[in-house]
Order: sequence, then structure tokens, then C-alpha cells
Amino acid sequence: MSTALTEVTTQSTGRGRHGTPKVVVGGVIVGVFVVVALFPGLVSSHDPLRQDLLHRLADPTSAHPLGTDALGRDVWSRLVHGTRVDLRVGVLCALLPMVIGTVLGGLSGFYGGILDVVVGRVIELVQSFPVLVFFLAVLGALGLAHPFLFLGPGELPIVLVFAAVGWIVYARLIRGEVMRVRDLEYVQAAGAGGLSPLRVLIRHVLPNAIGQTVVYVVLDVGLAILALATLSYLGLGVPAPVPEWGAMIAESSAYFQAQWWLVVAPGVAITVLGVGLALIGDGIDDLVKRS
Amino acid sequence: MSSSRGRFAFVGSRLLQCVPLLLAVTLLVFLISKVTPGNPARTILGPKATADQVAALSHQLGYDRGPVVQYLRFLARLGHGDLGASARTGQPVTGVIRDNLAPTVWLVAATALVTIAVAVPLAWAAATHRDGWLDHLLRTSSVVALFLPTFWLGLILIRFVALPTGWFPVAGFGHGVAGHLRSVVLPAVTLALGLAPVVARSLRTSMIDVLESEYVVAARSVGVRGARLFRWYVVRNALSPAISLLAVQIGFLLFGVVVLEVTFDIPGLGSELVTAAVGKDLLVTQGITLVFAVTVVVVNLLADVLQIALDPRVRTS
Amino acid sequence: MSALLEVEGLCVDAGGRRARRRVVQDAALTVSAGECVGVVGESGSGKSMTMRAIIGLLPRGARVAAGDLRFASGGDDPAPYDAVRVRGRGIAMVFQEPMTALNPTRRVGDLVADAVIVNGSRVRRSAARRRAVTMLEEVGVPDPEGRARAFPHELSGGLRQRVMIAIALAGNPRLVICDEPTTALDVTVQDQILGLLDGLRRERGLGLLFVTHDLGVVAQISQRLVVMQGGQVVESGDTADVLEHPRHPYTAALRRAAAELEGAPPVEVR
Repeated sequence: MSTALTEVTTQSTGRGRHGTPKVVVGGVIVGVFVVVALFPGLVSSHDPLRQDLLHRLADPTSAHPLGTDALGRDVWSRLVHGTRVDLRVGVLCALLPMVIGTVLGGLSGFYGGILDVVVGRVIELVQSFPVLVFFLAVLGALGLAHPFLFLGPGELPIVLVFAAVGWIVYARLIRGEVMRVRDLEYVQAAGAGGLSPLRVLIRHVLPNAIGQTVVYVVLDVGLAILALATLSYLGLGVPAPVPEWGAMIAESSAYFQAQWWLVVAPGVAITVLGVGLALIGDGIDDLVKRS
Repeated sequence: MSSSRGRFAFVGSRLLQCVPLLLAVTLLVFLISKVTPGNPARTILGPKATADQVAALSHQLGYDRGPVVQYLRFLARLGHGDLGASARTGQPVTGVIRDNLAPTVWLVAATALVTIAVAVPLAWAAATHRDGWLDHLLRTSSVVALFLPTFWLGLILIRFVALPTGWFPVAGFGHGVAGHLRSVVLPAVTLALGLAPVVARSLRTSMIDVLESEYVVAARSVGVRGARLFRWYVVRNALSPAISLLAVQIGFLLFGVVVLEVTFDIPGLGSELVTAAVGKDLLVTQGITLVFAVTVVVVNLLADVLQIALDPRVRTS
Repeated sequence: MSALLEVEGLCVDAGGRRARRRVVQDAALTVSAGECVGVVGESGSGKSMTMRAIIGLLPRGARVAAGDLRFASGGDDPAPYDAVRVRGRGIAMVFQEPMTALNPTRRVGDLVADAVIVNGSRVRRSAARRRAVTMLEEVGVPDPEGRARAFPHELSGGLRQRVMIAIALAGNPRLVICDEPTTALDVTVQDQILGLLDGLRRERGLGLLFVTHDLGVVAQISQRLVVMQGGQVVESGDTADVLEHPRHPYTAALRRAAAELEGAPPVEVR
């Protein structure tokens, strides 16, 4: 979903000299989340789905570090397991548009002609459509909320919508690079010598474009997680009782007055993960700009 | 001078370009309803309709004909202002839109005003004091603001500002102008907190471009400074890119409005959209999406027109 | 001829606080009324920075580290001056690229009028506009009234440069710094602009500081010459003298390079 937002954040923070520390710090933050997602048993011991209606809305104790929610489920475990959902969807929502965009952009840049025009027009259309509102509409209409391959319930529509919209930035980037490279003399000579377009793409375009692409992908993961959380909060994302940070906030918002940590904790998780990803993206951007 | 004619021609062509765009938008919206499995007529009428009623509606809406005919009929109905009726309440969609329009408009306007009021001075201060503490703060806060979930921020503001002070309502739209104002302040501020840093950062960049441009240096070299420099050399030239920056934000603004209407329980188009979407009320979802889509197209068009009015260099392509 | 500008021991640092480097070292030059002093050197020789320091418009991160700058405002002897006050009415500047140096959103006549207003006392805009038309005529803009309503992008390169000269002269400065004003123009237009500047110098007794990397141009227009390399002044003196008998190897190299490019002997000096 890299749109103007992503383009704004990739304006360099600072003078590009802080690339490595940013990547390291961001990497550590994100790394923690990834480890937690892969090995939830390491940090939590309760079943996130197990309800205990006798101990609803309990205060934090050593047994329940963040207390229990309205249905008596251990909040900390739900937070931990929520990491898996968000990271899984986030990564997919970032990778799929990247692949689609790269292919379309490459083809469009290489062959030009009517394909280029069509792709350009589609880009214009999708850009002017209020993309995010489109999410809601489509998600409301699509009956595709069932689990699909390795995706949990409610995740497929989100991935599809991201794919439909997010490929643009990658397409533009790759297309630009391809067109720039296509006109270089030695590439034309190579083409005359029988080098296929795919080889051109890999040998000449990718090395230059890969830095920027990685930055976009990283930021997209963060934005996808944010979108998923928001949609789940609204009731259009993952269905209950799947633990997801946005859904958890929605479930507990009625109890915000007393058990405020039920709402604050998942929000902090979203923000911290997002900022960590942004740091990585920004750091890579700095490093790329320097070379 | 031929520039005036050139400019009118440009505006005209932009308007014309909008038509296929709007058509494509309607097509997309139309396709939404086509994607759902099952019989659309049944979905519209709900599970309690009889088979005969479903068949009758199907025929009336042209669902038993080919897709092209259906689309044309859809467009025709659009032209007559018929967007169908809600599957849940039976109320015509246009009526639903009309009933819920006001709070959304208020919220959008309030948010836009607050965002601009905050972002412009912030960007100016950051641009004129580069690498100062404000500049750094702006850069870091724009990243954080990006990833701070809007609805979460809204909830926090409700809990820690509205509830303790009692100044702002925690739900509803209020009565009269004062009531409306009080109810949109907090959500507008929430959304502005998320948008302003990002907007300010873009504005800052375009302001720096202008401040460091050669024509500003040249003007200063003959003694132009102060308010005169600001008004005629800086603002005039920074306004154009600023407008396109702001116009781009409209999509995110609308999304934020939708989310916050739900968070703050304001009865506007946004919360209606979510309710309809959750309740699988296709036609209402479709109708409201169309409204938002058209809004975005119109806003972008207005931004383009404004830019043309401001920048004498723009001509027909 | 009375001295207008005296620069001694000028040192300019650039690069801000962290990447500080000296871009001008001990530069010295003088300009008198009615004389044109050429400043030659290749890119990076520090000539532009020197000019910017004189007019007080150094870019971000650059500052005057040391040196004496003296200007004779108001017919007295050269004395230290406040650049902000002196700009426009004492010292003005003409830039290289008129497309970027003219505000694209403002009509040309208004740009000149702006300069008139800020350098006069209580001039009304209508009077300033009339004066602007007069000035445009003086710098050789045909149909000055019509052209005054044009935007910069509607004019040719040569006309734009004339407009810039008009703007620079609007405040009646005594010294005009020209930073490569003809580099972006083609040769015929270049000659016209050079002629214009030379004429103005003679008629008004202006002092001109003419920066260029083109030896042919500097031979045409300047009486005295300063050669800069690597931030330092390596040679200075009468133009004819320096060009025909270069004392510094760099000047000699410049001359050779120019001759090679031209394929002809160096241009005659007036």
C-alpha cells in the first residue's frame, strides 16, 4: 500500500549518516517481535483462546502479566499470539504487491507501447480512488473470510486488496529503472547479442532498484499491520476469537476506564513494531542513498 | 496573451479526463457487488424474501441479463439518483446518505482546518531553522505519527481528556452549532495529530526548495526582504506544490474520518459505512463508497485547477 | 577613479559545522568606479563564493572566516559595510541562469518594480511600474510596456538576462556583480549583453565585477583581471598584461586551453 505516505517517510531523516544504527536498532525491535511470533511458547504459557469466566478483567499479576480480558483470557498470551497474525499478514501484504509491481513495471518499461499506457491509466485510477475506503467496501462485500492456505480467517481479503493497490509504487520504480537501463548502449548491444529481457532485468535493473524496493517493502509491512489492526477494530478484519491487536482494542474499549492497560498494551505493540520497521526502512534508505 | 486560453483549455481537458475516471470508479463499485457469491437480489431482499420476490427483483434489476446490460442499467439508475435500498432497513440509499452527511462534512472540514493550521507554521519554523530542535522533532514525530493507530489515539484521548474534563462529549454529534463543534473537536484533533506531522514534513521540503531557490537569492540580492519577499516570492511558489501535497492526503483523511466516527460514535457516513459493511448491506456500502470516491476525484480536480490558477507556467500538455 | 570595493585577506569556510572546509583563502581585489574587473577560474575556484561573501548571501553552512570587506557607499572612501543595507542600492548582482533567477510566478515588470520600491523612499506601485518600463527600455528590451506584463518563461534567454540587469540596476547601485551572466546564452546574444553591460558601465560610472570561466569574454569586457584557483587569487593586474604575459602557470594553462578551444589566437583586448 505504498502510496504518498511511504514516499514521505523515505525522505531522508537526517543527513543519511545514521543508516547503520537505525537499521540495527530497528532490527533489534523487529527481531524481538519475530522471535516472539515464531516461538510464542518462550514468553507466554497460557492458551490465548481459553476463557475463564470466573476471573474476568483481573488485574495484572505474576501469573497474568497483563491481567485477563472480558472473557477471562490471558491478555499477555493474546498479545503474543497476535504477533503471529499481524506479522504473517504484514509480510504477505508487502511481498505480494512487490512481486506483482515488479513484474508489471518491468514488462511495461521494457515493452512500452499499449501495455505501458494501460498500466499508466490503471495506476491513475487506483490512485484517485479512495483506496482505504475501498478496503472497507470490498471487505464488506467479499465473502472470502474463510481460511486460505496458510492464512487465517479474515486475512485473505486484506491481502488481496493490498495486492490490488500496493503494486503501483514498485511498478513505477522498476519501470523507471528498466527504461533507464534499456537505453544504455551496452545493454542494447547485449540484447542484440541475444540476451533475454529477463536476464537484463536481473543483471542490470535489480541491483539498482533493490535498495529502494527493500525500503518500500519494509514500510509496507508496517502499514499493512496498521491497516489490519484498524480493520479488525472496525469488525472487518479477523473474526473473533482470533487474537489480533486491533480486535483486542475493540473488545476492551468498553472497559477502558478501569482496566486501561487492556487498550493501551496492544496499541503500544502496534506502534513499537511500526516504528521499528520504519527505522529499518529509513536506515536502509540512508545506506542506499549514500552508496 | 495566449496563456489564458491555454489555461482554460487545460482545465477543460482535466474535466474531460475526469469522466472516464468516474466511469471507471462506478465500474469498480459495480463490480464490488458482483463479486459476492450467491444471488444479489436475494442479498438485497434479505433471507426472508420468497423465491418469487427474488425472481421479480432479479428481473427488474436486470440480473438475469448479461453483465454489460446490468452495468448500463446501473449507470442509468445512478443517473436518476437511484442507488437502491438498504437490505437491512429498506430505506433508499440516497436517503441514508443524506441523513448521515452532515456530521461527516463537519468532521472533514474541522480536521482539514486543524491539520493545516498546525502543519503550516510547523513546516515554516522547521524550514527556516534547519537542523534545529524543531526540525528534528518534526522528522521523528512524523514517523511515529504514521504508525500510531488513529483509533487507539482517539480512545486514549477520550479516556484521558474527554472523560476527566467533561468538556467534550464521548459520543454523538450534539445539537446546534456549539454542540456540533464540541463533538468534532476531539476527533479532528486526533486525526490532525496523525496527519499534521506528515503534511508538515512534505511542506517543509517544498518550502526549503523555495527558500533556497535562486530567485529568492536573486531577489534578496537587490534588497527584497521581509513580508514582501515572503508574500510574493516564497508563498506564491510554495503554494503550488503544497496544494498537490494536501490533495493527496484526502484519501487518508477520509479513511481516518471513517475510523474515528466509529471510535467517537458519531453518526456520520463513515460509521454508517462500517455498519453496512459488517452487516453485508451491499447497496449501502456501494453507495457510500461512491460518494467518497467522487469526493476524492473532485478534490483532486479542484487542486489541479487551483494550481493552474496559481502557476502561470502550466499549459495544455 | 575612486575606489568602490576593497577586499583583503578574505577567507570563506563552507560545509557547515561538521564538514568544514576552506573554499576561499586570502582573496584580495579592488574595484573602482567606472571599471570592470574580471574574475576568472574554473568551477570550484572559489569565485562565486567570493562574490556571495561580498554581497552577504553565502549559502547555508558557509561563513566568512576572516578578512576585510570595504565598500564606498555614498561617495566616501571604502569602509566596512552592512551587506543587508547595501544590497540593491549599493551593490547588486546579476545571476547566471535567468530562468531560475527570476521568480516564475511574477510578471517581469513587477519584478523590476519590486526592486525599485525597496530601494526608493516611499515609491508608490504605479510610479514604480512606470519606472520599471523605463528601465526595461534602457536595457534594450523592445516593446517594454508589453513585455513588462510577461512572465519570465515567456521571454527568450537574452531578454530574461536584460530583465535581470534591469532589476539589478533598479536601485541605482554603484557596483554590480555579474556571476557568469552570459554563460547560459548563445554567442550572438552573449555579445549583445556584453555590449549592454559595457555601455552601462561607461554611462553610469558603474563598477563591475565580472565572473566568468571564459577568457575570451573577460578579454572583451574587463580592464583588470583577477585569476582564481583552488580558492586563492593566483594572479591579478591589467587584463591585457595578464593575458599576454601570464606570470602564474595556471593562467598560462588557462590561456593555452582557451586558445586550443578557439583554434585561433586570443581575442584582442580593448
